[in-house]
Amino acid sequence: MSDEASEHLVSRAKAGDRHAFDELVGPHVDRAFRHAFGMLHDREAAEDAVQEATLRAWRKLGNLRPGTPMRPWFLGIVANQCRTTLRGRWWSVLRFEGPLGATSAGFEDRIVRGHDVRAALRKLPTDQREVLVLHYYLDLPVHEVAAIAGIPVGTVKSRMSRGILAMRPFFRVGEAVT
Amino acid sequence: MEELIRDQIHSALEVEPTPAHLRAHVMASLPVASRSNAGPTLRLSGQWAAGFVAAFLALAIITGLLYSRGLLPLVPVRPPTVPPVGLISPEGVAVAPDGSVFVSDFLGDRVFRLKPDGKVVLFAGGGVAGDGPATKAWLNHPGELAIDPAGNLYVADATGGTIRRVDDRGLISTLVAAGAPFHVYGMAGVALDGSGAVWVSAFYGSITRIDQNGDGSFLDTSALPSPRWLPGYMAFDSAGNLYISDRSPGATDNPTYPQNPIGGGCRIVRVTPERKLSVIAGTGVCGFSGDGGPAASAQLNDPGGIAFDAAGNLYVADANNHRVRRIDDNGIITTVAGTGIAGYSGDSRPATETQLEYPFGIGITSAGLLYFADASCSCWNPSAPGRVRVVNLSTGKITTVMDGHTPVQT
Repeated sequence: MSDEASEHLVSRAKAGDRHAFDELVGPHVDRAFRHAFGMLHDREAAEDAVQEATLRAWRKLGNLRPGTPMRPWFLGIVANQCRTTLRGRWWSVLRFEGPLGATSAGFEDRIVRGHDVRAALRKLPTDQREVLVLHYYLDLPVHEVAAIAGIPVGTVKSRMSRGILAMRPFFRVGEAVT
Repeated sequence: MEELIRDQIHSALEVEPTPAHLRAHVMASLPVASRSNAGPTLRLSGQWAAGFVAAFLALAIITGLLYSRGLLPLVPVRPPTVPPVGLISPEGVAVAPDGSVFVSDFLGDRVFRLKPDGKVVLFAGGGVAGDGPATKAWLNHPGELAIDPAGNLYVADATGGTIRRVDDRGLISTLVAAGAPFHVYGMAGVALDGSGAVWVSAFYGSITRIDQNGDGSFLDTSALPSPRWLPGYMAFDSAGNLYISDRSPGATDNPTYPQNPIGGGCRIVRVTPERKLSVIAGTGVCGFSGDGGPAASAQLNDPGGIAFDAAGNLYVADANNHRVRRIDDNGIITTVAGTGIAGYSGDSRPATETQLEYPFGIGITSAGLLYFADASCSCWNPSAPGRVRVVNLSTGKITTVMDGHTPVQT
């Protein structure tokens, strides 16, 4: 699916038209949040990361060329923001010990079942977690993961392999089909 | 193994769905001023910074000395200007049982209410918030409006990708959001059937029905003859048939989803309660012809709003023909307003001798007053604000009831 930035929208957005910017970036906000949550495991922090990334994208419009695929462009900014957040001095201490995700009754079973996988994902190094979330949770192809993470395709594959190897004990074969 | 990993990572992380209105919130948090004001910050080296501070202090001292000696004229300080709340680009029109008329402003991101006493109040939009008080909410290009028997107003928020509902307490909520579970994007029209189910038309061709339990179903439009269609506004008749305007190619530049090919056959499509489709007006070729003859043989050009009068006659805003046309119960089409020449020639002549410019949304009161958005712009040009006009269907007189200068109570 093509999501290239049209010249019309880019020029309008650069002129300060927030609607045009929303048409460019808005369709990717859902994926942005999912990526941020997959990386940060904290709803509030994920929302903050998406908000900050959107503001950065707004400021970076001057570098955006018509024809640029919008999804990797915007998700790359989100990924960078998540890395910045994870590097925060106190963040990992304060956030990783907090409660996880939604706790509404309808999700309770899935929270219990998914807890082990989530905990294992959290313990992965950031670079491995990033490619796993982008590829397996956001369902993005490997070449797009490489563009977002700013690394070669081969590096994406090796990080994915190492991440899967580390998480293998937590994947339950009996739950493959839900 | 690949699918197993994918499934279990999905299960582990999907406990936290994307918050409703996150898109609206992050967009609303952008600086209101021009983007260039939010550009890269000029970074000064320590040496330059010291020089800058010294120059600033020197200037401040000199200005202070001049002021203290009465050598500077006093310049009155202007209060900050507030963006006008007036009408810019009227789009959707809906009539409430109490005679109030609601008008969406596509470019102004607001919905106005014309009260029966003639006053105009801001009803929704213009703010930056999500759900809650409607006048503080952020709308993003609102289009068609619909009203249920209880008086709740439904708004197809086109670029916002949502169907919003405003209740009688003035609180706005989100009924349908773009994406899962219905995968509806680019809302164009909204209508309510007799059971209270919400029908949504989308720019790229889908019609979705969402019942009061939240269950959705798509309308199968594969039986529709070519060309590919571009659904717009919708209305139900008293027998439960749904009518959908099929707009013209190029009616929208489809900025959000440029990957989808643009259709448009300049027709009116009827869908029976059994979901059978038929074309009741328009030949599939855009243009103007056929007044006084069968509607199915007549040409339309970018039809927009649809409404029925109490007698069951169908009215359609034939936007790019700059006319409002009527299709009676024998299927005969006539013009009831507009000369076919775009413009504004005032209200001094009968409606059929008066110029319109791109009429779009339509609503008809039980007393036979046809309100319509005389959009006067192609939805992207705020320099040519539009008007709301009314045609008395008994006398054929036309009156302008709202324009960009009409005071609005907020």
